[in-house]
Amino acid sequence: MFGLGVRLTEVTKRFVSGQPGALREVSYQFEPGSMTFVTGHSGAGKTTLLRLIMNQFSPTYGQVMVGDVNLASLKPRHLPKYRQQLGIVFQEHRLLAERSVLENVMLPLRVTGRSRQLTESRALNALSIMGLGNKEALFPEQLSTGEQQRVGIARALVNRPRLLLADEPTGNLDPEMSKSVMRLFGEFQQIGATIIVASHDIALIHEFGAPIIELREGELVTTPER
Amino acid sequence: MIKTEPQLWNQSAPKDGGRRARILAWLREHSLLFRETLEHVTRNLFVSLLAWILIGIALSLPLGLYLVQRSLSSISEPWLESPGVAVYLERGVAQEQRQRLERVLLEDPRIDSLTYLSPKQALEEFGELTGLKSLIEDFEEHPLPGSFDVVPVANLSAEEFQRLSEEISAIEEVQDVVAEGLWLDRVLAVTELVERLTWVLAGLFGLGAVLVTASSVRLVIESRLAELQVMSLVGATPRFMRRPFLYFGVVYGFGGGLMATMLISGAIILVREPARQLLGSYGVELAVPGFDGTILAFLFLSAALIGAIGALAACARRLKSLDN
Repeated sequence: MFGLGVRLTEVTKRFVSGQPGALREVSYQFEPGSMTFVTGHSGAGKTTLLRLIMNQFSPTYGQVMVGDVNLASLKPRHLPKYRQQLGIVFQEHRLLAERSVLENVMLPLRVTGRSRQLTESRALNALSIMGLGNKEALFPEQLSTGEQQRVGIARALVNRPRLLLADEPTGNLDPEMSKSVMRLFGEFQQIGATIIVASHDIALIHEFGAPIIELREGELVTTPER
Repeated sequence: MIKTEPQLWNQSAPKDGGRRARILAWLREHSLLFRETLEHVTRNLFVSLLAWILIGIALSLPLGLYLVQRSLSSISEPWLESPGVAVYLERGVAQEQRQRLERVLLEDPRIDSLTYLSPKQALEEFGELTGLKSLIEDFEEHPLPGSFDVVPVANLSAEEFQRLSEEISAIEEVQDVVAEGLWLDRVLAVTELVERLTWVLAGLFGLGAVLVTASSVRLVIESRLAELQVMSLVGATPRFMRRPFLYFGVVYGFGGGLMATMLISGAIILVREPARQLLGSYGVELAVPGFDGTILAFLFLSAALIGAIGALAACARRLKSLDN
């Protein structure tokens, strides 16, 4: 199976002891090869959920399983290998200001030690798909916010991830471009990748008809019927 | 506009090309990092220069001491090969007594050769060395005794040398014996002290240079934190993330080595003449210390190593907490 399944078991995440958790006893299974929307208002815990899956931190309680790996038992030396299987679209796109568009998109491949020829070819392909084929030599600050977001998406997809985590990927895009991005994610799902999209754009989410889970103040309040 | 044909993602990219291509990619990565490091250093020349000067100062003291120690060694070496014994005779020793003593000494298998210095010659030599020649000429009688410069055979052990000095000293016509070995021992003791001091200071200042490099590299890390966090999230290994900073460390260390060379060269130019004059007044010719290929290679390798260790120290702490 190409896509990685994700299973959350009673996951609680508290950043400050004694305070209510950013996530509270969340249990859910993202099937391999599925596309799921995680929705909820700002501060509901969507980003925390994605960061737990990225293994940026561990849950206070509960368990996060990705594929057959319990992230809590993942050794630090294995973390890079795990993350090389992910594609991450950041909410604030987090492009490297001092690197060109092409270098930004090449980054996930570069860290794996692939050849320059392959890295560049794939990055140019990803940029072309994102409609940025003629902008590879520019720097992020020379692009519009929407274009920067698309570069961020190209970077997330360039290594053909088994699990795509997208945090508000359409936040800076116009409605037409947002739909295109979602269709692109749909294509990735067709290839077999698992896709988890955190978004509060309800209209867009409903248009694509993928399963939706809703978080409210850290609790999972809505799950799709199976 | 975004192209939405799934086959685009399946387009065949060029193959990796196996081991050779990976080695080439690795080399290309390193050359890229080296170029980026030089660009960063050039862009932040003032900060880099400060780091170089600090590391250079830290390296120059042990380096300077090492050169001083080499100089001392070069002063003592000729005596080490053939330390002599100055045998001062009692005043009023008759010529026959002196000649008999000379024969006795020359028959001793431990003695290679000897030279007699009459009271008159001794006084002239003293006058020349002290510049008091005109004053000495007014003396009615020669105040200095006659003496023998005794050269022992080569490879005479320290104990035999000492015993020989004592035996000569016991001869009736001999007033005093000054074994050059005694003050040579002192020179050797000072040389050893300087040598040990050099190692102690090299350790301490080397540590200082490591800390200076670590804090300089730490500044570079902080300025690239956002990039490192993204790298970590896309799966960069710690080794990959450390690599550019190792280059920074090595460049800082190398620059520090260059700075130390310049500082010490300047110091040598400043002290060479006064030192030469001072030692010349003792009849010692100063071998001016300088940098030969071995010293330079050792200096720059050590400096680069210090830089790399400093960079590793800076990375070890900061890269661990990237996700927090």
